[in-house]
Amino acid sequence: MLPLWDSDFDTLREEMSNLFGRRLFSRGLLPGWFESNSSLPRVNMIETPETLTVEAELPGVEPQDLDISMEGGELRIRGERKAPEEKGRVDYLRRERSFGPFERVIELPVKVDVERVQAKFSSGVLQIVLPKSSESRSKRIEVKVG
Amino acid sequence: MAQAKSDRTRKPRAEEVETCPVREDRGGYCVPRVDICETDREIVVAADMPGVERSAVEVAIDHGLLTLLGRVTRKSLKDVKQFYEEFLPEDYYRAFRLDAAVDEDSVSAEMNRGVLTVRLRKSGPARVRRIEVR
Repeated sequence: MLPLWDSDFDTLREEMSNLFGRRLFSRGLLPGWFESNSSLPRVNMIETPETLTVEAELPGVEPQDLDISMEGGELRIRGERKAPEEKGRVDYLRRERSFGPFERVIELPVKVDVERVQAKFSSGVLQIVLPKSSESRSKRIEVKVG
Repeated sequence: MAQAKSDRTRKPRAEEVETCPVREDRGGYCVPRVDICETDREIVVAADMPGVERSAVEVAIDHGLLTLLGRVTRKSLKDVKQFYEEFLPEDYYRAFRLDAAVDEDSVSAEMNRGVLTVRLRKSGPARVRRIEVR
């Protein structure tokens, strides 16, 4: 286990971004941020030998306001979080949540089988399971001894 | 001379309580984002707790102290090769001290799409009472 207080913290951080390839979030971060008024939902990406799983935090979003698409090796999660309406006069004592359009584009590090992608959305968490296409899956290479 | 104080000058406040229950197994809780608003009749507290199901929520109010707790059930995947996480499967906790006069028996809570909404009916009069000065 690498100690986090090590002076090599920068090396560790670079290794993390190299894990999935630096281009992974190139579209999801700064360029997109300035181009539109959309907010960026937080995402997780987990890779297993067979699948890529992408999770996104989308509390308060209705399924009909969510749009997921894939194109050219990019996964795009886009939609809008509508603000709840309270009747009558409303005074805010505290306001921390954000509403409105959101978008996140993730460049997938491996090829996936688009036909078998499954998405589940419950309790405000979107989970997309992308099975890797056959050439992306790890293959055991038999070594012939002779 | 008696001071007549109308309800409007005294705005209800919801102060955050700094204390957080200590957890033995994990480091701490995730702090959910919260909106608190006041309507004519209610104080409405809405907290974003994605990943929390309806059955895993605990809401309590005790002498003006409102506590919100949401437990996250996340299945861990097997054979994880690599991962990148911007949000962790941590439970949510937040507490507020409500200054307003609320009817603690009227508290209702709703959990929908990862958003916890707590409604508390105000127990005082909803409108400003005009006091006639003789």
